[in-house]
Amino acid sequence: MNEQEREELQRDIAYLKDRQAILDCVSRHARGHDRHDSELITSCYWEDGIDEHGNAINAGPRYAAWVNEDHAKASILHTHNLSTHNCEIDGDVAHCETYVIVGLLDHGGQSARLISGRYVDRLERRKGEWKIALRRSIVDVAIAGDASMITYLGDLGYTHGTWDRSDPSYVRPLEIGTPGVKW
Amino acid sequence: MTANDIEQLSRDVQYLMDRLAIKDCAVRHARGCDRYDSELLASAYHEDGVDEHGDAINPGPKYPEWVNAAHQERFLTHTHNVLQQVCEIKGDVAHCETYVIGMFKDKEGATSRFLYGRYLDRLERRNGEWRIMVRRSPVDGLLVGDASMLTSPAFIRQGYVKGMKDERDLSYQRPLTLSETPADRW
Amino acid sequence: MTETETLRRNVRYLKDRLAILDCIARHARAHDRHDEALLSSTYWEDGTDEHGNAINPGPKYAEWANAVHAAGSCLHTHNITCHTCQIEGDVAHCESYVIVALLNRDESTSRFISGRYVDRLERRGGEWRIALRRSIVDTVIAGDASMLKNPLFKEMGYTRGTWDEADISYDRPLALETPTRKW
Repeated sequence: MNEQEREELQRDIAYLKDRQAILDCVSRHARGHDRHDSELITSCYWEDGIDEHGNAINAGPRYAAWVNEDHAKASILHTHNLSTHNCEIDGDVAHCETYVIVGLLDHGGQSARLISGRYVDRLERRKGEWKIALRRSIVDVAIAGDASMITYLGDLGYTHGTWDRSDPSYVRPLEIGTPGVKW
Repeated sequence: MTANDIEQLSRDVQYLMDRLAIKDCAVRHARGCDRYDSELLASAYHEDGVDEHGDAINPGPKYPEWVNAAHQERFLTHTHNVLQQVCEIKGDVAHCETYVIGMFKDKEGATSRFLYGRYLDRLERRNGEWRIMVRRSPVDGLLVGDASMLTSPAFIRQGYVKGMKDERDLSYQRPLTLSETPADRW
Repeated sequence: MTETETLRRNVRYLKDRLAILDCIARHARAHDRHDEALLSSTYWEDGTDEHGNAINPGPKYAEWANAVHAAGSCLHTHNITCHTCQIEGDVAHCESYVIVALLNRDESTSRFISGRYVDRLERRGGEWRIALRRSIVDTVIAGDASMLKNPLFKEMGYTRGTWDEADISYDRPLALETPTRKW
């Protein structure tokens, strides 16, 4: 391998690592939301980072407290499902757009809604780590529906998520039969 | 380039290959479910792997039989949409959480349901291959809605291809061409 | 194979997998922004797209898609989920699940269509693009979207997507001060 080939290889690998790290940051954020894990959510933003959710503009370190409260007012359980992801990296700055379908179970557990939107992010790499410098949120489509049949999942023995570390996703090592909260 | 450099780069690349292989495993599973492809589905588990779906606990190799029957009984069509995956790898063991949206068209009537939850997996790499040892399936919500669009004249006129439960599905065609449509249309 | 050769082969594979997924993600984004140039850039000139009875040559697909989307909705998102990809030299066969969320023109109801893109991509001059795309519809869920008209929702001041470059996802660098269209 000559000098040029070596440099190209290193560049390619650095790029692939960056893309993975950026997607992982956005994915961790979604998980943080759904477990109400303030530490995890906060770790996705730079200290001087900013989050915009409509009129709610929060400094990175304050976002977790705001969103956990907002989610608790609006629902009893939720998931942030990330799909289409486009990302452009220019040195230490990345612009990305990640589609999200947010599923929220309403208080009372009889109805649910989906909100389809997008996170538009500017991330920055500092000392090798990628985090969100600015996030702007978009809502595009929504749908509401009946969720009352969710009790049948309880009959079948399904468990659901919790808003703390008792959620089975924290268990190490993962085994069948560790307790979970059933519907 | 020194031997150390190559070693570091190889480790980086191995990590990325592992991440991709682990994601591919979850996707393979989802595709296997939707195409009733038992071989593909079974290939996502180790022989001694275990799957938990509520009270239904199946050894990996038996999972395809169970899930195909369960799906076939209640639903006309379905898609298991695997989304983002958070993953931790330690040597030959990986723990990951993969978000999933299941959409199911009920067999009877004009309704469908939208379920969302997560697959919690412990995978192991053996002979270079990552497969599931333990899978747990929490469901976090659902909603029910109208699927009458599928039988509306306006939709049928458009001539869309349907998904099939066997190799007539277009996704199996090699090479993919326009000249043949072994699958049905709506 | 030497360690270096294995390394290069793996990097080549990772780059191809990412480039292919990016092509599909770019296509989805272009749909939702009605970005004709971007949409066309995902097909080869001699590429073909099939959506049911509508068969369009690659370069003409954007015009058709934008018209159909505009006739049947006022906003939409193409959410790419499961992505399977098999590469053999310069040809790749993939399957990408998509959940298309569409807000109907009444802005009060919506439908989420679940389907799959079955693609044959080709690499020419180092670039991967679609040579043939066939579309499958698997299922749908339709329902109420009137929450988007609710004064309580409007009060939150969320940004809504647009079908042009005013969409905030085009903003470079992404800035908090850039005005957006709100619900």
